Amino acid sequence: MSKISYMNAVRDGIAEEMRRDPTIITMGEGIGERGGSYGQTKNLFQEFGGGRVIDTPISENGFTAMAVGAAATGLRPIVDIMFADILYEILSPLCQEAGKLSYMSDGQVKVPMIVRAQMGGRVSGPHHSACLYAITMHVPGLKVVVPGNAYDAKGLIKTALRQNDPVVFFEHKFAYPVREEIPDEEYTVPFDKASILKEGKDATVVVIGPIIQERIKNVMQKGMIGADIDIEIIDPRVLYPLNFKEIADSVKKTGRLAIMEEGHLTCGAASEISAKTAEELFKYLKAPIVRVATKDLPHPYAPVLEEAMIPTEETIAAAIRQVLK
Amino acid sequence: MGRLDTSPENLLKLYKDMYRLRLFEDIAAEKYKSGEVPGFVHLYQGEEAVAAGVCAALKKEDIVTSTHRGHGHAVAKGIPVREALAELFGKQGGCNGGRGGSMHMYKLSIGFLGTNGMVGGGIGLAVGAGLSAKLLKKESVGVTFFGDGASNMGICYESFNMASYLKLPVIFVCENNKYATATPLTAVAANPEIASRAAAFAMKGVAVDGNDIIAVYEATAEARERAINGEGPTLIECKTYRHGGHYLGDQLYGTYRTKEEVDTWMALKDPIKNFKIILKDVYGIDGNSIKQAEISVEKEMEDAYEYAKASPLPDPSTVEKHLFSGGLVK
Repeated sequence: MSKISYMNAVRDGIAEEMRRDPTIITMGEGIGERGGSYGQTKNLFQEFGGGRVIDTPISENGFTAMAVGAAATGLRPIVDIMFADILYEILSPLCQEAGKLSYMSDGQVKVPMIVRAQMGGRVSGPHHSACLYAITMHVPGLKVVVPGNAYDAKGLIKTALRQNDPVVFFEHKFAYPVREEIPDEEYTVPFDKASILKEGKDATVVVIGPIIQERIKNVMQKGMIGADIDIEIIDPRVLYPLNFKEIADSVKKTGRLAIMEEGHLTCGAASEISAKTAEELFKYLKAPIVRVATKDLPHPYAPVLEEAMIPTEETIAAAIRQVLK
Repeated sequence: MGRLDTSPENLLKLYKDMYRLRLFEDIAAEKYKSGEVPGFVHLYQGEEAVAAGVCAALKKEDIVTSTHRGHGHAVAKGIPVREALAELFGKQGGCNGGRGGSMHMYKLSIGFLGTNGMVGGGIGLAVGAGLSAKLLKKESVGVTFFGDGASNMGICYESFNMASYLKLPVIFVCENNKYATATPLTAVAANPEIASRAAAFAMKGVAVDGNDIIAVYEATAEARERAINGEGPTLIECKTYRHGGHYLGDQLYGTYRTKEEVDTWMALKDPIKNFKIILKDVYGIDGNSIKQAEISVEKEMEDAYEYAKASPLPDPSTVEKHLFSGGLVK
């Protein structure tokens, strides 16, 4: 085991896969010799060269379309868009081409590509903060992954790089420096399994993204919910196709569900999980489902304003207390 | 470099290539009107020399992307007419089993990466095919057809720039048919000489008579050779004309072009009629050989129609198939 940051876990996973598979390339702005705005591609250029680690112009729409064409013709590109908000620039090649090519070509065309989208606020302001995974969940043909910790981040990026389909991989930029012990030996994390972070019997709490994971840990450590409360915590890890089985099994056991995420509330991941639970598991529910999400607002710049619109330890604790009523 | 093989066999092949595209669109129009083609279509009549001339200069391994007006490109690159027509019929025997239709025809095994419903949607994909060819060391070029309408999109210039700075084997073929739906290029472009825009990206740009299949062929053959030799992309602007409206059912003329203009292009600049004259007058090919070529294409269309008509409808129980390719690489 070694203590590795969330960011380096993803980077190491990419490097391992690039050594294994010479068709994997990565492209983005400043991701070459410099190693990316965050250091998220550090040393990849030095190891694999400029042919496979391509510094692009600020042409996100263009290089995403290029990646789609490259993926359809034998390469496995990683497109690094630096900010999840840049999804708005690349929706056409991502949704109209990458997401649909397998289907509309009747299975002839495979698009094995990854978009790395760095999400999350903290004084980044209205254009650089949003957790936009729900937008991509709504697009048929995209696999949507939100790793919640360094272990999963490494294992999931390796699995993503072995898919034959487009994957949008949401990394939380404010979890990038968080270090945790992960194995030195090679491992992967499957796409088709949610992670049960803690077993419990009183309520099911679904958490999406590393900041929510961190905050709920703090809530428990600080005793913000009663010491006798035993919650089950589940991270679905892959939001499309959604890993619902573990959530369903848990709800059948606890009869209570709270869902916590950093995406916006309306039509969000929590909304989808809530709807599925209500449709399929209504008879097991002992209390209304509770959602905790970012308010339907742009991310304000001032920290006090931003903390007032994203899930906090207080709102998370309050939601757990509410679902237990 | 890039000279045409002017043997009678090759010239007749080129003639057939164009004639096939014309008849395909004629039958598509007829079957749209009869209700057998359920969705709307954008037809290619008048522009055949572009698709046929470009594709004659390409190899099977070259990857072509196309447009909403793309039947000509699909058939010229090698999708059999029966599969293309069955796709328009929404039948299981179509090149995409009825999942794609007119604006989403694919056959990757012969290097056709799709007609495209998004204006400009295919341009970047062809650059990606060029990137694959370069990095995987394949002797292949990415070729994209796009219209004068797409030539005013950002994706076009992002693609020009990337293909040029990365020196990718790519050919950009702009089919300038003068009108983006019903908007004249000259009304909305500060510089309507599209080929000249290549210079801004340190890229070779040439304009050719897009209704002259020999000119189109030679420009493409030269561009392909440059691409394969690592000399980077070329922009070929083919000046051509759309005989029909924007879509089938659209008016042929109106506020944006006159009946006289349409009549003049059809009478004097029809690429097929003119090539037929050249075959006879310049190359001395006899009328009977040309007639035989036409008959053989007409038979292909009859066969295509019978095939499309007989092909079963897709099985609704398969509707969820192919959303994902699935599987994992080892």
